[in-house]
Amino acid sequence: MTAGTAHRPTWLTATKRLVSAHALVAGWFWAVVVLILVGAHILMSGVIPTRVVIAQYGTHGATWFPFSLAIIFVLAYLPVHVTSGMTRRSFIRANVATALLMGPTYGAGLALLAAVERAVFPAAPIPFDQEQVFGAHGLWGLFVAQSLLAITGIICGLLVGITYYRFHPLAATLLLIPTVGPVLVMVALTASDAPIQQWLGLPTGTGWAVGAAVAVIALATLAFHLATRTIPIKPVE
Amino acid sequence: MTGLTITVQDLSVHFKDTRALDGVSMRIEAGSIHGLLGRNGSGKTTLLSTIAALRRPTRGTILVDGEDPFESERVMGDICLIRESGDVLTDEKIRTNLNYFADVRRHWDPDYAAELLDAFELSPRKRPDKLSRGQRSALGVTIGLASRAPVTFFDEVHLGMDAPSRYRFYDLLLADYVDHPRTIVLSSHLISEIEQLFATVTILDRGRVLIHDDAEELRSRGAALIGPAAAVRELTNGLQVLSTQSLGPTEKVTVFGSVDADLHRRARAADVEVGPVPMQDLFVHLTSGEES
Repeated sequence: MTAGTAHRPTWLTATKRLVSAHALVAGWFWAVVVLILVGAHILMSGVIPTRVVIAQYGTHGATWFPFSLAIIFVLAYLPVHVTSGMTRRSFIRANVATALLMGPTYGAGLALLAAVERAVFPAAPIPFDQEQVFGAHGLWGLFVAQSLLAITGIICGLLVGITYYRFHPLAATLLLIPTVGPVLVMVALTASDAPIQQWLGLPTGTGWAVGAAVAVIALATLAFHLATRTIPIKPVE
Repeated sequence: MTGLTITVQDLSVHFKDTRALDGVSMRIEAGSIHGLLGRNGSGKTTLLSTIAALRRPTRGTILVDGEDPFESERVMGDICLIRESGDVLTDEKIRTNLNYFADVRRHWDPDYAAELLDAFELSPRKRPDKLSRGQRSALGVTIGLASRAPVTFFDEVHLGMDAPSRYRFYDLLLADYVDHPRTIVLSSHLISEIEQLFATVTILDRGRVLIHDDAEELRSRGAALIGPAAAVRELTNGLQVLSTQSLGPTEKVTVFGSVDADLHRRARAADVEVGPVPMQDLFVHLTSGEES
């Protein structure tokens, strides 16, 4: 028996498992969203004419649902991951890779749903809120905005989970402002005419919003990395 | 050479005001079964957790196969620490958990894992959070043995099991060790059942190493004298007595300290039998408050 036999990088193995876990529950999420969407159209059809694509309001669920999943998964998988002989570094990589892979699936899911809704209900003349930074770019804009929101949601979920794992619950609750903050910043960046940039006197526009969004994701990822890289592992209860 | 060598030098781990480990130095040879003994709170779990890279030491160095295990993908992958909690996905079925370990453990043996489940009468369809304490321990043992990691730690994992399961564990451990030798550390404060497994022993007391020695050497630090009460009393007069048991006219006295050839000769002449001292008795003596 020798140490260090050739083996697939552990972060890839962990990513595969995490993506599978996320995807399984995400499937149920989209099934529920479709049911709600159909129900909303049936209810509204007899009352008022549909003026917007209702699917776009699924953005809140498609942001906070993966956020919640990330909290659950980080608490469930971290102790098992490290006691199974894998490094914290590989855990961080696997979770960030999962966020980067799963985020666009939420973006694609929402854009696909909006496209289907527009095809099925052509009476809805205004596809999206034109005030939105990404709204002017139609389905593509919706995809990008939702992908960024879901990626940030997952990374902030990881950050919230690791904070509760590491610190006293009271301290972790007080830290919710910086740990959830990036999602709120991302909501502001994607859902209106870049008020943060206007307020800070920075240039506005889609390119700048994407740049700012990437910076927010990078900062949240860095915070998750710093909080996790040396964390002591408690026993699973 | 089988298993990996572990070297610990001046290791300290502090939690706020508590010194869980204080200047621990020891070496565990590759391929040996080592006993890590100590009372509750003596630092056994902290020591094993730190070697397994579950936490960072406050001071000191740990080398496993010559390398610091903390965040070393190579070394961490070769260490398997089984704690009583099991460290499993509690709301997933046992089968799913075993598939997980098959994915991440380099030396995992799925057939052996299935055998062990049968041996401990565990259903792969059950979830760990639905198991009793003893069954959860058995699941931990299954994972620890089937992982076949070059360095395997069982941290008091057998304490939750009933007697038949514990003896099954000892038999399985020994049989698998013979077939697949590796470095194994068993930690416990219940010693009588497992002391025959140890090649070497470390006794921790209040975060410090009290004894780090060959198991036979440790046993030779005491002796049990059994024979006619008067003769035994005369022979042990002036020696440090750990315990005395009277069985009618016969008395058994356990003493601490080496027994010289003269005492052996006098004992033979007085029809007194001199035998090895149970490690449990030595442990109790060495770790009782006043002596330590």
